[in-house]
Amino acid sequence: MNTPTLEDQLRSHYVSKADELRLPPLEFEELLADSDRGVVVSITSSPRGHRGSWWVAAAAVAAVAVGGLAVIQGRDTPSNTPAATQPSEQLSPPATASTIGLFPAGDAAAVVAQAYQTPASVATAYLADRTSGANLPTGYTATATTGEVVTVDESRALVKFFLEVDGDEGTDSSDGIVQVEQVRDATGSTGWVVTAASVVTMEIKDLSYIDGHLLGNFASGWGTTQLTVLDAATGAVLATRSGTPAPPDAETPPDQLIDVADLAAPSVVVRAWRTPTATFSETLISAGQQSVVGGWTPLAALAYPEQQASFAGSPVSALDSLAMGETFKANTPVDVTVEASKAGEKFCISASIAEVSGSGCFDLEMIALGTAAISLDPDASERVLVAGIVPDAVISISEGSTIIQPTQNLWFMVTDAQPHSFNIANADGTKAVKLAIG
Amino acid sequence: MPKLSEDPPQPVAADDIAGLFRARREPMARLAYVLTGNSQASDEIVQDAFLKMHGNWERIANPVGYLRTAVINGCHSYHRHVAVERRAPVARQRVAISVTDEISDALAKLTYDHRAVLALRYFCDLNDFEIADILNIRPGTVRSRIHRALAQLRKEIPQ
Repeated sequence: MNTPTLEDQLRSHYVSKADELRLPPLEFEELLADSDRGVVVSITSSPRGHRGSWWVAAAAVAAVAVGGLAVIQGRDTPSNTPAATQPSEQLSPPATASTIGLFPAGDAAAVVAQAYQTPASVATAYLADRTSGANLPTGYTATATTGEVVTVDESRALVKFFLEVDGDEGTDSSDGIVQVEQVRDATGSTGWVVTAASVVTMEIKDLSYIDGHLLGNFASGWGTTQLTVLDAATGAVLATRSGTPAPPDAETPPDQLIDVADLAAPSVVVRAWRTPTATFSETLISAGQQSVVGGWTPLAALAYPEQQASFAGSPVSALDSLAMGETFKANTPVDVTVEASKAGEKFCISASIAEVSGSGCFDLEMIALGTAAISLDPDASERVLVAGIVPDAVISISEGSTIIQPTQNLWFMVTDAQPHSFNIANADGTKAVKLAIG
Repeated sequence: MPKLSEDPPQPVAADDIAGLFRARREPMARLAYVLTGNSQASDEIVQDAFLKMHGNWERIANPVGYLRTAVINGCHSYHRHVAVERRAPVARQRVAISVTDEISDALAKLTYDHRAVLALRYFCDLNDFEIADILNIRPGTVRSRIHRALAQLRKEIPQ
């Protein structure tokens, strides 16, 4: 006789336990009437009310913790009641309009003095600083590993990195990009400085810094986003706010309104950490700039230029037709499931092989690149499962003589765990992108 | 394309909260009961969830999902409430004799977060995405919590 698995034992336990419950008869009208008379004694908090209280409390704590610092305002949810924005000019140093980047801070002379002579060296030092304890959300540790260096032009480069963040929710990891620039001081000596950094897919929209007023929208995503505004020259914290969880019944996570007035710094840095997802971004903006787009999008456009001529505008018909929360499963040797997200704007692919599973969620812009995919390595680097979502325009995913046709916007392949380069193409081959794995 | 969802959202007329109460009160209370072990508290948690939902009815697109989240949060509040009571000093303690089993004992040693994901998976038969939606966490976090919870249970329960 087979011994039941732990999962089966749990199912039996729950059913048996639940069968113990006996409820007295009650109609909703009676409940309402009792409620009106105050008979119902609530022992719980409303999900909405509870989270609202928590949020307000978090904002208040942040305001206290930073003393007279401004509090970045939120909006779009009842819980995001804007806190009072307070002047912060007393904390800003005298204007020094020559700050160049995020790290090292300061003007060209200060950057050169730090003697970072390669893109990789400055990116590594920058990431070590930003993943140090003082710069991380409380309770988290992080490790960043730099990888490929992509030359943009003679004075600009991108350094790709891999970020692992460990916290209460376990370990999470993401890909990121650091943008670096080479600067020259008055003597002609050079050094490298970090000018932007982001982990996929942290986005900042429409950032402007006019007359001391910093204004913009940060795509908060699900989870908790901790926003900080710093003086780019000194690293002094000018404003901060943490704790902006989207309510569980929100259809989309609200954007965070960045609204800090009376800033005196000539350049400021907007830094965001989102938890529990391993997501991080920093954007620099100088006085007088407006409509700045920061975060992942502009960096990815430079890092993956071949993907810009991809499949924009092509629909994802099969997945678009899914109802919210509906799932479907490809009838394949491996278990592949795709489900529309609750927001209706992202699609998630979940795949499993040999009891190893993984998932990824992609918005339409990412799917339009053609390279929205996840890979799983289930058994000590012998095999790899690659599964992806492509728009309608993609009719083939090929590598050498192996050609896969997507089925209802899905494709997958189980292959050996060697580096792979898939060619993802439309019908006439006029549009194609490469997806590198391994 | 075969549909896999085993518990599709039930269409509910906007004015039929009373019908929803009749249909969902007991399943929700059963969920609350496996998490709290207290029948009265479970019933009150569910009643409270329905009352909250009634006050927000026009803004709720997915009543069943809302209820699940409210019940899970209500159970969480209940556990915090109980934990506070247990920490409070008592003048006299009554010795209770209860019949338990290995699984109950092992589940009791888990954190509430771990108990919640196990109940949603193995009692409600929800998938990673549905559980993530209810708990407002990522599907990957759901998987890791389930993995860790099962690993801890295996340590506690001789197989």
